[in-house]
Amino acid sequence: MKIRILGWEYINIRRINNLTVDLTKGNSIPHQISLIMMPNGTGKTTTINLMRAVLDGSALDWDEDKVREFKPQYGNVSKGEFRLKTKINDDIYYFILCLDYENGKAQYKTSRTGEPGGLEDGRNLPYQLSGVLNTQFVNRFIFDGEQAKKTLSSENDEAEKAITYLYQLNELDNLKAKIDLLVKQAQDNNTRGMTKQSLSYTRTQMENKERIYNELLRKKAQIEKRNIELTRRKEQIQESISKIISSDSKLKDEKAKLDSDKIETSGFIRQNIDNILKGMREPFNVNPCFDQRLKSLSDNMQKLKLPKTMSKEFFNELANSPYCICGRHIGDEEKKHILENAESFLGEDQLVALNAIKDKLKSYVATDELRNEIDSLNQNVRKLEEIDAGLTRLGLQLKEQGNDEIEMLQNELAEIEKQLHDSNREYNILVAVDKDSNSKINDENNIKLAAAAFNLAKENFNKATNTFTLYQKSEKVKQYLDAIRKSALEKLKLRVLTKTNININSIIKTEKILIDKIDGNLVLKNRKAVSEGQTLAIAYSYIGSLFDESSFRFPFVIDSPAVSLDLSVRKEVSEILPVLFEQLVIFVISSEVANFADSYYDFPDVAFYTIEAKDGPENAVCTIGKDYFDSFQKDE
Amino acid sequence: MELYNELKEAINECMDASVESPEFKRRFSKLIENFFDKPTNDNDIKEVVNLVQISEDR
Repeated sequence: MKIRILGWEYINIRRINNLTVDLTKGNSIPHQISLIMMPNGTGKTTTINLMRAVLDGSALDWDEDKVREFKPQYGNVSKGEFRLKTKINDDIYYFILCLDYENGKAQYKTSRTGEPGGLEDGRNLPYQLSGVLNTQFVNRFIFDGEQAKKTLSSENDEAEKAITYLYQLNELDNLKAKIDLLVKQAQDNNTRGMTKQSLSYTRTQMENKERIYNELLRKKAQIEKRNIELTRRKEQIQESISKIISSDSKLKDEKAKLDSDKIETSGFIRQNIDNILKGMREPFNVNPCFDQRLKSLSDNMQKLKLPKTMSKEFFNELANSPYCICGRHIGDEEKKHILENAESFLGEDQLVALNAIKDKLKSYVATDELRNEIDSLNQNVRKLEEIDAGLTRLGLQLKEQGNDEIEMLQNELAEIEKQLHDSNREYNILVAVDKDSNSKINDENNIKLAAAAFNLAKENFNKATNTFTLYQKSEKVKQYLDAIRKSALEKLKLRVLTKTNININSIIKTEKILIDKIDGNLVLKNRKAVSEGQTLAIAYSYIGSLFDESSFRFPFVIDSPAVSLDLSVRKEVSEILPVLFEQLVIFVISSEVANFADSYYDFPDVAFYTIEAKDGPENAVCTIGKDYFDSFQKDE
Repeated sequence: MELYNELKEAINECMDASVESPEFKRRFSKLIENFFDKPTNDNDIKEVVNLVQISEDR
């Protein structure tokens, strides 16, 4: 499905009273690149926000003040409109955002050329687009610098969501919701034989358990987020304290020694843990009780003398022989009997496995290696605690000498550590797997138990309404849908990642920057941050890869793409954009002409628009043409 | 609308690993394809759900 922006029209929007911008070549086909010069204050950001609102439907949630933000300052205007002309496959759609300044209300209208009835109320998208054009996804192709930062920010999952929406994996969630609705309808229709009270009781029980379960999931997510923030702050404080101590001439040598010991001891601890994990694969070294039991199993296996030939295969051969080993003739009846009973004996392959186990059990020797490694780990952990205490002591010395800053930092650190401790205690209760690991858990504070209680309440309700079988079947279908969603997302992430890295390589040639994985956001390989220009380049590469091979071909609208770019990077970005996107609508200001907009002066399919307030603040005009665009820049 | 390869592969892998009847596998795959393309009839969904096999001992 190909979506193109053919132009837009403003009627009484802020400083523009009436203006049409036509991006086409005159035949309902837009130029591949449309460069729109709009000086600051002309309404560039307003235009982009209105485009977003028209496409994602978000204006219905605007409050009165937000609607009135678009009201022109001149005259007594009561209504305004922003009309976006699009082409979806071969059909022309006008999406109109009507702004009622008097009542502070926004509403949509849609007009499809060639359709009877003309203007329809609402934002009536083709069915295939309805799941795609939401706020999160529209922000992916009506783009600005903030979105680019979000793509790389670990605090959100924008990058993954973009794949989900563009490739419509959310449709699988919608299908699940539809299945839930059908089950609920069946439950509502199958209440015969139940009193109103008992139905209400079982339903309330189920709803309560569901509420508790969902609350616990929310709580878990909240704690995880809070812990990330607290840990980040803790690291910042530790770094600040470390810097202050290092700057003290008396303490810096002692600190350097402690730091070096800490690195060395941490390395030993890692080695201990590796060795312990390897050692635990030999259970006879884990606990003498395992050793005893394995030895007893070995003795039994020696005594049992596993048959080497009396296997299933032996009886299969015997059944086809004319005589048994006892000399009796084997007829059809005997053959049938032997073959039926042959299944009760082990096959050759099973015997081979059992004999291998038997040999291994006979030959193993228990050692103290694992126990020694655990002792060494404990010693190293204690040593690390002593080193940390030493580092804290250095801070205390400075504090005693009257260093207020370190006192403040240490107080904050203590508070954060307390919060982290409390938070972890709560988290451990939430995620504990059974009562053995945490005796305080119950179905109101532990996710696993709450899920079990919710499932039981659901079963009771479904049994009560005779819809248990339907419910079981629907749950299984939903499990298949979940598995498909997860698997498809992983496959898509891999494809988009590979393509993104190819695109990044072709834009950023001076440094080797790679995306390691898409884990909610884009995760850089072997580095934590990149420059602002590189962030943009990565985000464009990502969006371009996302659209590539998708069944949707969206235009790409960018707000001031070159403002934050060095002159040297601008040209590279300007070259890659037309490779990544089939239609580009680029809003620029005059400072972006050098090395960016002027790179397109000789491009074969480009149009230049200059929108400016000319005769007074309310009248805007749009001048088409490269010469004016270029000279406008020079005047500025 | 033709489904993209990653989704097709995910559906096929999931169905290959399941113990469902060939009829369920065929109609379930078709249901997803249709759902991506146009509004789906409730009866189609119900029929597919009813084809699921469930063990007796639950």
